[in-house]
Amino acid sequence: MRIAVSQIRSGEFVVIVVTLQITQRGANAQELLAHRNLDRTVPPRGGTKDYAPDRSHEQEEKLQGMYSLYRRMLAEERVNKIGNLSKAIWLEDQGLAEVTVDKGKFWHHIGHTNKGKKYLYPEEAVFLMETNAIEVYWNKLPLAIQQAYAMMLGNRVSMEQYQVYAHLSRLGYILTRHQSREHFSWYERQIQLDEYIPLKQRIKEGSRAEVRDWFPSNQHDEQTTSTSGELDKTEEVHRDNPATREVKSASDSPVEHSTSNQTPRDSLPKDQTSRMKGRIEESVEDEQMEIECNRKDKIEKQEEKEVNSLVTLSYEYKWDFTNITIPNVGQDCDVSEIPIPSAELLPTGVQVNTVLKINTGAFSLNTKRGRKGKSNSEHLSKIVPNLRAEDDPRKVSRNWMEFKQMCGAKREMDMSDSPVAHLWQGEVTPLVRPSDATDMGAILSRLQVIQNISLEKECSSLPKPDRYLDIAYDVFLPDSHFKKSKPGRPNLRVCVQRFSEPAPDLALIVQLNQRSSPVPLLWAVVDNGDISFYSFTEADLPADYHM
Amino acid sequence: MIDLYLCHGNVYVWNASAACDLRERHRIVGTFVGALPRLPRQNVRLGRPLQLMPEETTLLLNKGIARLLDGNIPPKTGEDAAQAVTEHRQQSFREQAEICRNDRKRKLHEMASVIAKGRAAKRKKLAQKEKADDESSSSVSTSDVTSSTWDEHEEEEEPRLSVEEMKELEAKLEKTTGYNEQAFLVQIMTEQVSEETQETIPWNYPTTDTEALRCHVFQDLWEKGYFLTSGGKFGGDFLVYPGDPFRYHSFYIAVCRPRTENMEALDIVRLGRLGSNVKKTVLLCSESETGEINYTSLQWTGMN
Repeated sequence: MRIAVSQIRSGEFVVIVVTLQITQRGANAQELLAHRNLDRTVPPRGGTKDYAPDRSHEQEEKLQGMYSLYRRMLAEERVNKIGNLSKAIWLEDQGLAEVTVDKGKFWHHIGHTNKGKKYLYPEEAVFLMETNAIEVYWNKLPLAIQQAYAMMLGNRVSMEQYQVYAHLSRLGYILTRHQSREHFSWYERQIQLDEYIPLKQRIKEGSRAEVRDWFPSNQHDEQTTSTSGELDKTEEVHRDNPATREVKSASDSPVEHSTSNQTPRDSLPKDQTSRMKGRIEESVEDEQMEIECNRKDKIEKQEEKEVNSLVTLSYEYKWDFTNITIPNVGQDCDVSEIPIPSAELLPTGVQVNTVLKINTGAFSLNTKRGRKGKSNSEHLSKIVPNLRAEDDPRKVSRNWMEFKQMCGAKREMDMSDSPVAHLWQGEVTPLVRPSDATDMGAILSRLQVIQNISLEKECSSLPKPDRYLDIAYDVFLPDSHFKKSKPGRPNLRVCVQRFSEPAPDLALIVQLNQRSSPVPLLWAVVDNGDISFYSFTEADLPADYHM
Repeated sequence: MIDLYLCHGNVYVWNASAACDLRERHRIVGTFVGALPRLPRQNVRLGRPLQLMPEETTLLLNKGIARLLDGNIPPKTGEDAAQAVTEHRQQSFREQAEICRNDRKRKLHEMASVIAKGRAAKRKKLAQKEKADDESSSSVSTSDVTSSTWDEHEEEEEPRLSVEEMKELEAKLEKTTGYNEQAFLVQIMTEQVSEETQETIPWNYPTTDTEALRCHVFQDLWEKGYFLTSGGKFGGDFLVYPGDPFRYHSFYIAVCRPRTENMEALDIVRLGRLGSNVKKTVLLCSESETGEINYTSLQWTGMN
């Protein structure tokens, strides 16, 4: 151990500085005790710098002052009482650190439990080591930070990801690994359902009774096929359970309907229905169990709602959907036909003779606000064409030239007596005609040569991004009410990239923003230790103007 | 010889004096990426490890200033290693206990005069109280006052603790100083303690032409006496400082471009605008056919 003593004269005071030169073997007792009374200030960033080196004495002094300060600061070690340090063991095969002794307040927002044991992710463990809160052991040896970087990071957590994690955590944010799904929808959060159903239950449920799994295309082959006998069993369970008396009364009719309506079952593909029923039965049974256990009214009501919806699906549909056509009003289809409905479905006295053709392109929702009544009538005229036969250019014109003339004729007519008619005589004509000056919106829409598209809507038409990028972390603002069991919606999401990697293309940006919406997404770009945060947001140019 | 450690693709310097030497003697700045032990929860000043750019590493290895070691080697384990650690700690605890005890003894001796004064004052108060109880029947109070002041004058000299009193206090101190293992200080090591010799590993950095150009430009500017750091924040490859970044602002943003690549006018305008907005000169650096680096600076001038 070497202790260097140097004197710095500053004004009247003579400061004796003890420089700790801790050798590689680690600090001895004297030095450890000296760490109790360290100066805890850091030189602030900023302040005026000099322009250029001019070999003057003052500049040299300032520089040397900085150097000696840094030497002292860097040599200091992380020293803490054993009573304040938690302990963890690094489990290499699992890639987790198991906490054996838990002191301090970090457990409030860091770490997770599994089967009764406390675990830390590698980035959390290394961060806690760096902030002098925990000792991590491996094969009964306490790890140094250098060893922790080598052993714990780099495999599942890249060095850049750890850097971003540490940077944001040092600022006080609470970071968790990205959860790709919000287990409670916005509506459920609004009715405070997330307070009543614990997250664990929802996660367990969610893996089995998801809406998207009810559709045949998403079925897995391993699902057990069940016979109709099982359906009766669940009916029994239904009736026996006193708590579900309300449930039974509401769902009585559909259940009975199912036992009587044997024939329509055959219309749908057999294996699919049985698969569907199998899954639904499992979840119905689950619901039953939960109803027995929980006596809370709200849960009962919610379960009842779910059981109802599930039970209605488990019997066969009253309608034969293969024969009922639903018109395609999607954006990919311009005109769709509605066939003539069968006579038994129409009320008496009503007759439909012709197939109805509708212009489904007009069904696209108008998201621009403030459309006046005039434009509504424009829309209607598109849907219900009421052109007389002699006015319809498609019927009257004999060739393309005439067609164009007839289409443009109406607009041309107004120009003859206008004072600006000369503008239309050359090759280059204005975009806006005086007749278009109905309101600002009409003028602006005429001027809009390049159409604005909303990326969220058009993202399906963008090409697939060339690479796959993960969202790394969910960020929560520092909050003493943060609960690990119910974190809620994160305030930010972060994805991490190296500076040397290529910049993301539009498809990747849109895809990740979609995945993360409505939570804003930040891109953390790490350039050899320097972190910069970027975000891509859609900017709206003004589309309409209200005077 | 400074030790650099290659750990999962990045090069780190863990030794504190090595990091300072790199800056002070070899003009290699690097970036600190770890938490500062003195104040861990802030991002203004970070601590070890020092992360080096690949160009910095190449330069140091070429000049023979540093050597590259494998940072992924796990520590030596085994019963004796764990035993050694436990023994080292126990020894440290004993020393800490000894130092603390000596500290308290020293403090006791320093405070001896204060303790003595306090004891004397207490004794006087007790004596006065007894006297007052004894002579409560007497009506003359002034005589008491004069007698007490006369007593004070007598004991004007410095009250001192006798040797027996001192020994008694020290004994009490011994009894109260316990051996609470939870209160002893322990260190979380930053740097790995390794006594055995380590083998150097190869450094495969400049693999592509772009990387090679960057290394060459870095070395050339470094040899001219500048300090260089990464320039990602300013849209360039490097930031070139006339002196240490602690005290000076950077003069140039170095942008490396291959000699054969055509630059678009838009690129030049972009770089020129950037440079003029941050009051730095943009240096376009390319390698000539003879292997020299040619520099072109962009300066934004108005129309006259």
